[in-house]
Amino acid sequence: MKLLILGAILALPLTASAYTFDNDVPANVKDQIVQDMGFISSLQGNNGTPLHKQIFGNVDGATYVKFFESRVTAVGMNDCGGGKAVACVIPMFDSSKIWLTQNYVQYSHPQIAKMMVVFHESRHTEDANGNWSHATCPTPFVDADGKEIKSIWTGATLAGEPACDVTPLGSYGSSTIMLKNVQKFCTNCTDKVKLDAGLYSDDQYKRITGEEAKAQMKKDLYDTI
Amino acid sequence: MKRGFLGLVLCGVVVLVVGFLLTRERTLSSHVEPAPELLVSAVEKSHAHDVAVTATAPTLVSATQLIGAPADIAKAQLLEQILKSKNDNDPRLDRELKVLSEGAKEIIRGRYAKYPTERRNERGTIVFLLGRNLTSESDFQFLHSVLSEAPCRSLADCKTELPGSTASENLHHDLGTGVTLAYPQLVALKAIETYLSGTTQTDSNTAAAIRDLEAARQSQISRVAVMAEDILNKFQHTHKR
Repeated sequence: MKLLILGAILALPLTASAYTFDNDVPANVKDQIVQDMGFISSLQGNNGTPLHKQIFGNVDGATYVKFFESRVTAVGMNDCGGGKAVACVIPMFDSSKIWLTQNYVQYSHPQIAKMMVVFHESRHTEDANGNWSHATCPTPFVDADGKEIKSIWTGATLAGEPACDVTPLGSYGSSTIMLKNVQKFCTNCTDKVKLDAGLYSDDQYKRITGEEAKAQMKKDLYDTI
Repeated sequence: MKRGFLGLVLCGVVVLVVGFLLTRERTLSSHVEPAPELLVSAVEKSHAHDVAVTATAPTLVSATQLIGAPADIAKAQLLEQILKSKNDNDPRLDRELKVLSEGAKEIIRGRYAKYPTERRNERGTIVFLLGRNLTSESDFQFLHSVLSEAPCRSLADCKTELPGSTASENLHHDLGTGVTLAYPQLVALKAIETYLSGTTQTDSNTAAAIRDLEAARQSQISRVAVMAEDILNKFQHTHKR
């Protein structure tokens, strides 16, 4: 009887999440994303910009978890095609599954940055929205300072590559909006988390092209409080 | 008799399953927690691409080597606990570690270099904490040294740019990588920006802050150079350049 109870207790962590883990997900990767999702679920805010409310609701951990779990049903391991990615979604395999790479635990990203990637990828699960495919970056593709925006991986220009969004609602836009709102409205975040959220959202914002989308996000995120 | 036999078989199966689970747990746990000293030396010594495969959060060499006032040592040890936990939202960052004495800052500055350069979040967190306590020349010297570091070329090995897929469909996966590569430097610049926006400036420290920005403007890391220039422009009307 004791053994049966022990077995049941050991099996509990395997069924605790709404999403499942493939058997080949290493324990350290699984533990880390469970911890990181726990971090997200703990966030409190009670406010949000209009775009944030449209996509997620108010800044609130339960809201973020609901967003994630209503899209992602499984977590697996994959190299995501490159060797440097942290996570990806491969709709042709399974559009409701998120794939993590070993880099998820090996690379030393701030916690909110990892969550930015995870939520970016979770947006790509939406078949009904064409998986929010990325738009082609304009040519030339320059930032506000007139400098050409390049891939940090390859040094190649992103101009002409499908690595931008022309809508605030896509993967870049939604994750940018999420982090900027965490910076603005999270009431139980450390100053570090809020600083990080600002750094990474400001960076992601550069991937939004299309004047209308940029103006909409600027008004939503940067021209308000 | 038959029932007794079936019962025995059932018990045997349960024991085997539980035994397997326990063994699996032990195996996975031993994979997760390699010896801290090995992690540090492995990451520091090797440029092999698979080095980081075993590296989780590197723990520093024995904290008992710390020298200083007990309260300062306690803060440094608390910081290392938090870094090891990988919980950026630990409220103690904003309570126990919000205000640091000169002694605590000295110890924590010393710990910065103990973290391999690839540990961008750990290093950046240390810069963040020290950057909230900019009160002396040595604080700005530390930021200057952080801003002067060689660019980190990849998160697996700062010294080497690793080959990666250049396929178009993968370019969008470098989400935030550039920020993480420059993370300690960007945090340093934000600290200086906050200092220059504050009301506790002294002439000498403000001059040191501006010098740090001037140097950072020449950084090989374009994000750092651009942010330094932006901050300088922001304060050019209120501070001499």
